[in-house]
Amino acid sequence: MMSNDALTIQNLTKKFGTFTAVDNISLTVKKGEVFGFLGANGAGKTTTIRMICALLEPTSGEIELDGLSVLRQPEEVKMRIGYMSQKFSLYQDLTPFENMEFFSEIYNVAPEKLAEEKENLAAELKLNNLDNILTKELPLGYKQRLALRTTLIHDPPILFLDEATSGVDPVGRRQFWDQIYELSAAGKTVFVTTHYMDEAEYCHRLSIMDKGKIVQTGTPAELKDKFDVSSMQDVFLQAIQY
Amino acid sequence: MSEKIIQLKNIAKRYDNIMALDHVSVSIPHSAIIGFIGPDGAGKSTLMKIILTLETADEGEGTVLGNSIETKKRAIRRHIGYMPEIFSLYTDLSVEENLKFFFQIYKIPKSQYKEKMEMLYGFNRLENFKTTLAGHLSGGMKQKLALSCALMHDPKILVLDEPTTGVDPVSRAEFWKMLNQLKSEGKTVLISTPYLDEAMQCDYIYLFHQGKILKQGLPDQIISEYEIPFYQIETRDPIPAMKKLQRSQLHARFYLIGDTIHCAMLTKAEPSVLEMKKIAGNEITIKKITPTLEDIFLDLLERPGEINDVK
Amino acid sequence: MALLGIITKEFYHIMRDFRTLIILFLMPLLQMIMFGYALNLEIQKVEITIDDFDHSEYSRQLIRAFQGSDFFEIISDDNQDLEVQFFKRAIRGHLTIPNGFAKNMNANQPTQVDFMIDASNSNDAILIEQYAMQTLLHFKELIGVKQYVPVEINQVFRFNPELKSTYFMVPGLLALLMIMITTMLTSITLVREKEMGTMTLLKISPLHSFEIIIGKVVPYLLLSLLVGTIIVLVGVILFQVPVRGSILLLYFFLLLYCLTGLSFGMMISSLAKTQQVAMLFALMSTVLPTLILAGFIFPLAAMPKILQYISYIIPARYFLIIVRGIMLKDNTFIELLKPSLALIGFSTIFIIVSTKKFKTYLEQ
Repeated sequence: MMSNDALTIQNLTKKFGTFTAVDNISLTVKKGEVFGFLGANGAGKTTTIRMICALLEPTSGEIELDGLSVLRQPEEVKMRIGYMSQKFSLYQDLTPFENMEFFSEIYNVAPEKLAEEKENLAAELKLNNLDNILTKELPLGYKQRLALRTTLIHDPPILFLDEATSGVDPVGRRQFWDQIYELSAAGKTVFVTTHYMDEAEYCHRLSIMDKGKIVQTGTPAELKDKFDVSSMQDVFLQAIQY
Repeated sequence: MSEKIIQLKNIAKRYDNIMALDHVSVSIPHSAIIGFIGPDGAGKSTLMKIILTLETADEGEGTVLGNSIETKKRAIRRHIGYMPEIFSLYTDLSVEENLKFFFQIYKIPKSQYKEKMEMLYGFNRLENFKTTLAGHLSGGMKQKLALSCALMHDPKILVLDEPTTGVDPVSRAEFWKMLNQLKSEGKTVLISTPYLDEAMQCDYIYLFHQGKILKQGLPDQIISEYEIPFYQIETRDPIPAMKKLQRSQLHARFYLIGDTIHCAMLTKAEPSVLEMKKIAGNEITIKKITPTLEDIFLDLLERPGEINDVK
Repeated sequence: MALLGIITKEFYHIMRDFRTLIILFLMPLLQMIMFGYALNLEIQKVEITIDDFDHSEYSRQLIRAFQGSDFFEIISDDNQDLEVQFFKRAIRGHLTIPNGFAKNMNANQPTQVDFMIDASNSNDAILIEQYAMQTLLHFKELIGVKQYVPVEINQVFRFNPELKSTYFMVPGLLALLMIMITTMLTSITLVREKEMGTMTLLKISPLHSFEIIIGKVVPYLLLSLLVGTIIVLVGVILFQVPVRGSILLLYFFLLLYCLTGLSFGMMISSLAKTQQVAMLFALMSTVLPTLILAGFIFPLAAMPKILQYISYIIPARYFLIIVRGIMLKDNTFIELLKPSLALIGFSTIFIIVSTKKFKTYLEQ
């Protein structure tokens, strides 16, 4: 019996010495959902994500990702995760194809699948010189899409976008989000952190974190209704009682 | 508000074969927050650098505080504070050492040091971090420190190039509070940002695209005067519905925001609800919405024919 | 005031970049020890064989002179093939005393002995030759023959009678390390500000270009002098290299030389875009030319004419003459006028070019 949840977090806590970075949070993200995770710096977002990705061991609590226990099966979990952050994790002095080849080596991706992904990328960017142009020569928006394609090369069911659109202009961002929706429609779960509240509006559902706790969870419309405000910026500031 | 402190006419700037600025004119009053909005490479930074006299325009002319941007560079630089796009302070120097360095290089009389520091610490609230190295500050605090350094010589104009990129929402709210305070003190703030929620907080905005100004005006006015109607369509299964609508012959653009479909008409005509239901299914609900600045910006880009009609 | 601000700031940068600071002070020390001990150009125990066809008292005396020398070690000649011996590096020299050696000497006739040297390492060969000459001289003193003493031998050993290689290594290292450090320091410091974006802020500030340049040069000048002092001290204490001339004069030229390097670094930084490029260029343009073309290790006189001409544009060439002059010969300023003028010329050209370039960069 397959569960409908991509991610369940139960009573998760992380303490660094006497400091509680994550304080007993619980959260469920459904399959195919675009889920937003908001919070100021130091609210505990990054610590939570690191624990979900099996990079950091929780002090207590349970995390289940795609039916696997993160605590007991960390290696299997890592194969099911795609992670993309604002800092491009691509090699700027390699060609886009070489980047893809490298990451498919890491994740043991079949050669046929790699060839297919290369074709997809070339078609998407409408460029046919992706094997003799350096990644650093691509425009920012293209790099972003290359990074996304590379992140997805091993076909992970869950995608983490950690401030992935920081500094990207409205046009590039809209194209990026169109892709996110496509992924979501194809059944992938997308977990997004962002500092930008107009992006928060794009999420199906979101949580707001403050001082290690989740203070609000809901759809953007629900939260705006709840606080009786018109923008997510106001929702956010009221939720953390700024 | 009538007196303009920055006036540029027909500014053009070319890098190699790229037209970074394609005959742009701006006229900026004092005591206001002016937003330069647009994607990367749209010309925002180039125009800022021309105002700062760090770049010279290929064509056009202009004055900043009555000084010609071509001949009176030093006079202009004396009255402008600048925060570049990348964090440009000495990361291996402490907060106080950075402030002191800028105090010294701006050749402010030593007798004013104490007063100046008190004023700036009161403004940026970084007094408790005096001895922290600038490199160890959080993103928001770095921006406050950079802003303070840019304010050292009490400039009349502040030029901030994408100051809030990567800064968390709380720090951004504080940063904007500081900008509003500066405005109330009579300063003019030029700020560039790719984020349209920030554009709403400006007094006057210029929307840039490919070296041209697409539109300018008060943010609320741009929204209320935009003639193209926008609709929101709700349905249980939005993606297939949207695909069907996009394939149809309707004169509208459809795109997804969260789990609702947004629809921008291609003409001023009202949409045919009946027809949409026929295509996307009967259970959809359609309501007219006020577009966001982002909706309008992206819509403008879809209408290349009208880009030239700039006023 | 503004100038003081830049100087203070530069000192903060220097003090906080602990790794660079350690490299800066450890590098000269390590290099000195490497060049001074490991790359010692004095060779000892050169294995030779001797063929004595004269079998006279004189020939035995000559052999004894070679036996008594620290430089040579005579290994017994087992009638092995000479070629093979040389080939296997079993020997590096072979002395042949011809028949009639003693007869000629007694008759006051010019006399020759053959000395074959392995010249696969030319530096060693020259030294071995010199040692052989010295031994020959010793032999002549031993038997009381004076008339064939060649005058040149006396000249070779002046100022450094024991032919200590550290005597010319220390001035050479001083020249090499100082130009390398000074050029590298300034080339990086300006490019770093360009990379970090802080240069833009300096640009729009009311600072003048000379304030930035002087503010940057002064701290690094002091730092370089400190490193220079360490090199000289290590030379004097560890290798007993004398400073026979005026210390004040030495520092004057050290200052001048540092200025040359610092202004050359400024020139590089006005051209380079990244710190790596600046550092690489600084290293390439100082280390190799100084090592090869300044007369540090390889004698200039033995080089092809074209290289000799090129050596005239290497500042270290002149500094080397000056330092050796002061440390080993007690030269005065007047005696060093020619190389000093060259050095002053270099500094002036570099400073003018770099400030000009920097000024246009700042004001464009």
